[in-house]
Amino acid sequence: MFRIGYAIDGFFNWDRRGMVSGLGIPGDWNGLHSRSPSLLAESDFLLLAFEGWSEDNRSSGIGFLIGLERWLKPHSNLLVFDSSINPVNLLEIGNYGAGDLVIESLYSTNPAFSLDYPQNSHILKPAEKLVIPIRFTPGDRNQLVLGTLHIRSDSVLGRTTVIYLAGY
Amino acid sequence: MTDLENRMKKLLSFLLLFFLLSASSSTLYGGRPRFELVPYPPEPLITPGFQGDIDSQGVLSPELLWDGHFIRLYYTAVDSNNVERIALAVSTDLLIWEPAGVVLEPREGTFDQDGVSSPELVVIDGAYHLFYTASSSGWNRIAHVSSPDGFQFSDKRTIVLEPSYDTDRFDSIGVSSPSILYQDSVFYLMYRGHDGSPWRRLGLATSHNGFDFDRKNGNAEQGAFFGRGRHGFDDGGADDPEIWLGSDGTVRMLYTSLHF
Repeated sequence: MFRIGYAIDGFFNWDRRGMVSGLGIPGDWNGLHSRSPSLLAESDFLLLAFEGWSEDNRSSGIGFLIGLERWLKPHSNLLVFDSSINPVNLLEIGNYGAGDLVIESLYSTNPAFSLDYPQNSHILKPAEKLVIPIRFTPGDRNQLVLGTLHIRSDSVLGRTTVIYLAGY
Repeated sequence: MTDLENRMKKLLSFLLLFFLLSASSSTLYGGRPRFELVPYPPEPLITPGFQGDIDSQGVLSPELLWDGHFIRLYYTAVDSNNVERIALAVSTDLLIWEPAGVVLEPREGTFDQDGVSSPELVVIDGAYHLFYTASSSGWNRIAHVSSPDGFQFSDKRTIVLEPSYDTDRFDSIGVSSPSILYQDSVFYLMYRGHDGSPWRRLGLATSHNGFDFDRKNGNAEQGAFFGRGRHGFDDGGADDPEIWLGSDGTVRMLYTSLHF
């Protein structure tokens, strides 16, 4: 089976960053093989062409994919805390782009949600994730507390990513 | 902002909509992050038979190029007799492609008489340099031909990289699938080496003129610069390299990964 892999920091010490996603769902026109990538990079936007093979082992065409240079995605954009069960929740954010992503800052709008994040900035390599513990400390256990977490980064899709926080 | 960037931004508007919609979902990804690419559109735009019989059996090894006006797609066209040629399609919007015919045919009685494939284009000072896999009598070599416009290529074809003919090396009996990075007046050539084994490995050679390449010794298997991985998806090795210089100044590579 052929798929498409990605590596950085060549030539002498290639750092493998895994297989790219978006390819090769069984039954699709490229269900058997996806191969021979060709890339057109322009600023923060990446256009990829590749050849596909269907499951009857025939060349089925050349298709296109679009990617981004820096792409922050959270695992979830809503975290719910039950102070009696899980006062600490883990936020995962990943870099789905081709280049380094800079996390510039994180801050919570409500002091009931505090971050265990010692660094002011953090660089995420392609295909890397960051896990940040968030602690919920309610003032009144019977009251629903809402807040938001703002992540500032240089993601191409927007400099601020908002995570919604709810605790009780 | 360049014209190409504007066009790609328009294409990305659908992506932004997708993200806004998915923001209401509680789970935006599962598992390990990866370099993510979104199909656009979901179906292939160039399919076998796109240019009639010349590509009726296959459309392979795409090579994208922006010439300032059009997006060009050079590719390997496989005809009904399994002869490989290099063909061209052009587009202004990535969605509608116009056939532009064959730009390189195999030439009888020469080192590429059995097929020309895997195009790699480099434009330097307005000249189009085409590096390709030249096949003859079961041997694969990497050759070069130039053009003033990328449509009509010179009659002068030159082998730029031969097999090493060294039984201790990964590229002893063949070289193919060139990818070129031209940086600071140096041509960096990544290529696939053949030694008769099922493994796929990539090598590096450099040149100052695009013709005389100096083969390098890498620290992967048997002189290769990139060999088999340990994580399943590329445990059979790598093929079809695509190298480029990232915005951070580092060399990056996409490649075909082989998993047995």
